[in-house]
Amino acid sequence: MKATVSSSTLSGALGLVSRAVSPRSTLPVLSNVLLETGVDGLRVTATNLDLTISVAVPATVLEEGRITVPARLLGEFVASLGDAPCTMELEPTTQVLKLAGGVHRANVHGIDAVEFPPLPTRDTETAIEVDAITLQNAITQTVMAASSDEASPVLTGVLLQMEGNRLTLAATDRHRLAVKTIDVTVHGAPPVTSVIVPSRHLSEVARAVNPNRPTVGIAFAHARNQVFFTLKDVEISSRLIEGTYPNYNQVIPGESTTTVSLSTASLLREAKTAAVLARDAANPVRLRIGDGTLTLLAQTAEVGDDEAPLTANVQGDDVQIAFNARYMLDALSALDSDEVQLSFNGSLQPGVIRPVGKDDYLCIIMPVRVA
Amino acid sequence: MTHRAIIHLDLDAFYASVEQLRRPELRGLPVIVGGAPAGDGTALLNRGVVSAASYEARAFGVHSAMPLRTALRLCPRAIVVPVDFRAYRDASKTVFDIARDYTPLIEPLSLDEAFLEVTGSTRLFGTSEHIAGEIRDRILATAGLHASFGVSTCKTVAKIASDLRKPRGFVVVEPGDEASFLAPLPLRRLPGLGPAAERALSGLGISTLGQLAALPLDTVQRRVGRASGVSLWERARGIDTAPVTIPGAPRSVSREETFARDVAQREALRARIAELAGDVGARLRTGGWTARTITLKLRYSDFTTITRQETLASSTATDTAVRDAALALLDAAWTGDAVRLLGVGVTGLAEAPQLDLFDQPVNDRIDHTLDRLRQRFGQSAIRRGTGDGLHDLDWRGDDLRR
Repeated sequence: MKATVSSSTLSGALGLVSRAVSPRSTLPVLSNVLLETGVDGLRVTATNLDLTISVAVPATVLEEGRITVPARLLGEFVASLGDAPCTMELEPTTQVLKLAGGVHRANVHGIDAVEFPPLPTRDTETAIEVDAITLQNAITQTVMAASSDEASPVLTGVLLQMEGNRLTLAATDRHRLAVKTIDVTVHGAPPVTSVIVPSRHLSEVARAVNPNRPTVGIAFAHARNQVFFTLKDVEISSRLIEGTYPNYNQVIPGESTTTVSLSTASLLREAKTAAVLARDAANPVRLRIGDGTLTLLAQTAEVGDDEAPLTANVQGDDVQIAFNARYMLDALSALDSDEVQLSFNGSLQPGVIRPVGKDDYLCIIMPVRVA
Repeated sequence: MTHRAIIHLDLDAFYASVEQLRRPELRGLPVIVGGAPAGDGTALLNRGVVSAASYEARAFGVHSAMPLRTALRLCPRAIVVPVDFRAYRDASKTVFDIARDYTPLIEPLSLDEAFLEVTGSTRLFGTSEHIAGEIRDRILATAGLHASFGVSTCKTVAKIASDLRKPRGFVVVEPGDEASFLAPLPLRRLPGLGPAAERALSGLGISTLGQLAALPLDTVQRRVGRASGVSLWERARGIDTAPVTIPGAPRSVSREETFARDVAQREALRARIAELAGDVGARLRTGGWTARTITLKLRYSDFTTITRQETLASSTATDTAVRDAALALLDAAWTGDAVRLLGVGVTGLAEAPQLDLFDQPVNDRIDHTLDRLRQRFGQSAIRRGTGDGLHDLDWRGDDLRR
């Protein structure tokens, strides 16, 4: 194996795949990144067996070959080379990778590529195609509601549901629920109607999006329970979570007794400030709504309290309800509209947060019961 | 981080001392506090147990929880005075108010015992030893009471220290000396190390805390169980990170009932569990709490008592969630023998609980409606059906003998 690449391009690719490296694995080769040179350049791959990220890097290939080297070490070395081109050459008998960049001539001990686990392969053509920025937004708007509690694995994922040309992403940690629907292009009959993807892995897909990668293709491997996201030069594959996702539709309130609308930015800003004084276990911030005003109230015994009245368009009954400040801030930060609509059915029923003028997103938060 | 500074304050023979203080003629005499008041300042002696004994009485072998008759046989000259909680509460308040001048972080264990965290007070008032000394002198000057003090860096060591030289003890264990202080002490000095654990450890030839601390952790865990193994082993080495907590919300809510006649029918037990769970749920909701852990307690006719608990995925305050968990525990734990006492309880109480999207609206509304009806018309006005047609069985009466 012998090839020359741009250090900065390789560095970017190593940064992306590093998210799939297992630094403390019992399998040493999983701390390494797989380098493969072929007719179409250099391919860089890392996997932790659940998540695999692979990036194609343009390269002048003089000799084909494969090797794995410590991911972190290679990443640091290449990053410090700056813009200098980097030439890599494998010494096959010793499995030492010779790296030449700038004034440096480095030798890095690798592990034979045959030790690297076989990579998942898809068994369908691209089934779904979606605009990258649209998918990125949808992921950001839903992953924050997924659970981090491994005790209920299904809830640590995001549900992806296909219906016609629409893809719905839903996530809930039992305290809140975020649901986003986007338009997609479907090639042929959709192979599956719904899958649960680990939310952490979806975040990697969102992270990989940039202007050079305008679309995302989604494909599946049924037998191996895998989903594949292809973004031009990047391929991310993830294990799917098995299990039954809770029927979230049943907890979406149909009607409401109070609706409030106001500027998203000002509510977000003032709620952030109020949250400073909401230090009890569930960080409760109260919303007192009525008379054209939404008042944020935060209070922590022996710490202090805060009150912030905001002018708002209020319709329906007066209500007082408390939410975990973090959940409220997450939802407001995820909104992509200038105005937000909040709707309530009394102080113990879920509150709904939606963008005004769009019906493709909603976030539902279960209140905190305060005395 | 610097180490914590914790004082354990324990008033000496508290009830008896209060009695001796307000009735000077009792000073220096063996005094036993216990029994119901006879109405003339003396106590009814035929019933009751010793609530507290002065050191003069303790010299005769009298100790608290001993039947009064036994105590008087040991010490016929003892003067028995009835329990007067109001007086003890007043005295206790005086003492705790003095302590509060030095720190707001006070965790009372009873009227006569408390942990004081003075970590943040040392800059203002001097070392923890100095603070404990001042509190001791002021309690004596203001309330006329003697107390024992343990000063250390954690609750476990402070408590053991205060107990070591009672009465009027004052033991300071400097940071870093905790393990060597504990090492020569017998196992039973460690709070939470009961007879069962002591037996289990003595099987290994272990009789001191130092020997316990020197064992490998997994050996201790194999002998006394995983969780309590860690706790005992760490605390035997003077490691105890438990915070001094100011009492607030209760830590548990429970309801139990001793049957007039022992019950051996599953349906009757299930019906009763549903009722107790309803009471527990109502209590949770009035307090504005939720709980995560549900406990079932069963005492059989032969007085063997078992408790089983189950922790739910999320906190709850609904009758049905408490009931269902308790019923599942009954199915798993009940031997089929006649039950004398049945209890349903919850722990892991949280205030301002976060409600759950998937475990809410319907039951919550029903519960609140039931609560309101019971508030207006009384506890037995309305009950949740158990679905097996037995909820209306009056099994406190003779129905059970069918």
